[in-house]
Amino acid sequence: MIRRAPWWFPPISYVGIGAGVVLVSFFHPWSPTPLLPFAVTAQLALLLVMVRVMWKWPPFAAWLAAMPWAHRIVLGALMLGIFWGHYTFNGRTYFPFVVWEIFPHAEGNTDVVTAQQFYGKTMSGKKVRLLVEREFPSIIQIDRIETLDSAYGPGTTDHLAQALAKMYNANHPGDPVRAVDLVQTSVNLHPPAGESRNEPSWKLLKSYEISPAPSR
Amino acid sequence: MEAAEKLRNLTGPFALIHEQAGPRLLALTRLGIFALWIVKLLLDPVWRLADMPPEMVRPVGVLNLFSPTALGALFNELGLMRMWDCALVVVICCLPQTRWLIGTALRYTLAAIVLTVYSSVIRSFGPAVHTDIVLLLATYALALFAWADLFSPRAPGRYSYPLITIVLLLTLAYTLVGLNRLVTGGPGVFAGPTMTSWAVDASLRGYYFNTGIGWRVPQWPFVNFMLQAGLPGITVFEIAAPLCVAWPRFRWVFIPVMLSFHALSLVFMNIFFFDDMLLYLLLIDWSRKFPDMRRVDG
Repeated sequence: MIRRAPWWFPPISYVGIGAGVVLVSFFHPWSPTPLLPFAVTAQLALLLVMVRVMWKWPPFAAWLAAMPWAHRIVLGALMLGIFWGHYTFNGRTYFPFVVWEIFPHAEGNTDVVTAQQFYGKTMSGKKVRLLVEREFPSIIQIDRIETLDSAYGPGTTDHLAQALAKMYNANHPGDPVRAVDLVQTSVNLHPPAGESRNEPSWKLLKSYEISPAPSR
Repeated sequence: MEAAEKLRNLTGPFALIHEQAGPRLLALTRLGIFALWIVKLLLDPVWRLADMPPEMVRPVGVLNLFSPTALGALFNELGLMRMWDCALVVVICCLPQTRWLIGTALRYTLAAIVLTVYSSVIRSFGPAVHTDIVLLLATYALALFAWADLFSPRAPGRYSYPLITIVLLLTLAYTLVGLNRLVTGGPGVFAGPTMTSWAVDASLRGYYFNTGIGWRVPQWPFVNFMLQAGLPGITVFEIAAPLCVAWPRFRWVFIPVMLSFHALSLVFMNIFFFDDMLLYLLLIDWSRKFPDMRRVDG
């Protein structure tokens, strides 16, 4: 027979969990860094509360209880994987058990947002945007262009410009790109009232000549 | 007592989603998930990655176990084409539904392995973003539960286990995103022009679906307000997502709210999670609506 916890136990247990979060994340006289960062302990505590509620909900509890042991292992392994990838903050190693973060913080306290972009000039004089995610559709999202040289080594931005032009030309042999411009675009987050622009401000950073592909 | 009754009328009944699921619903789900992978593979010229600057390759997940020679053999046009061919053939082989349990488990496991390699390859350039990850985890669930079925082939609820697990994975992913934003970003994320900044940044950067609209948000005060005011609301829905497992009325609010959110993300931020949107079909409790989808003893 399962004994029910007294009425005062759940609130006290939640106060205890809250105190534990504060102690683990902010009280660390023996070391310069906390045992676990607040981002981990607070998320974990909130998640445990939700899991507990689910666990105690009779239809879910009955569903779990009726589940054979092999199925329970599968459910447990998948849940463990998703938590492990998230709370180790090392989603690249444990992929597909990744860190679930989408816009977890503000992009900086700037009034102007900037981004670098590639534009191609075709043989007919047309200006085309060269996007990594379009020329290489397998790539869902590439790093910011402005970080490439520091992240992957000097010259990566130049190599990427050439790769984009080569791929564009392979798919548009009738009107290939003959030059690629690296530009920096910027948008003011607080424009004057009534301002209406047709395109963001932009500044040319670098130009690349693209040699025609050798004929086969 | 009266207040409790009113509250009960407001919330409506609580019931575990897919609890009554039968073999037909599971078969359709398996078919849908593998068909979605086939569409994704057919739309993806993965061999083009061979022309990306080689220094940009940063192996992800299981690819870290590959030797440099194996990685070299994979990240060239021929290697990528062979991987694509292999993934397509294996996933097509998962479409027929058979009663041979071990054959099903083997096919699904092979599919989970090749799709893991494929998903890791395409994420070896840039950050390990979330698109189609729940779909991959759903494939794992189908494969692993197919093995578990070998040990308990007569378990009455065996059709519901993978379905409820997929719904849990989908909703848990939202919860973790919401909790992470709430705890890591704190109130600062929800105050000020954070959302405007993200929309402008994503719009300037591009991505595959480049609507070119988001950078104009600061010029449109109403849209600006709508995006900024919507973020706390969406975060609440993300955190509360697991309620979909138990609360039918919540699902009928959650589905349109989150579908609108995904549509707006596409319009203003060029971000589109079409796999997740198709997985929303599993947020409808088909077996309660259609007796054909129910298990016989249900």
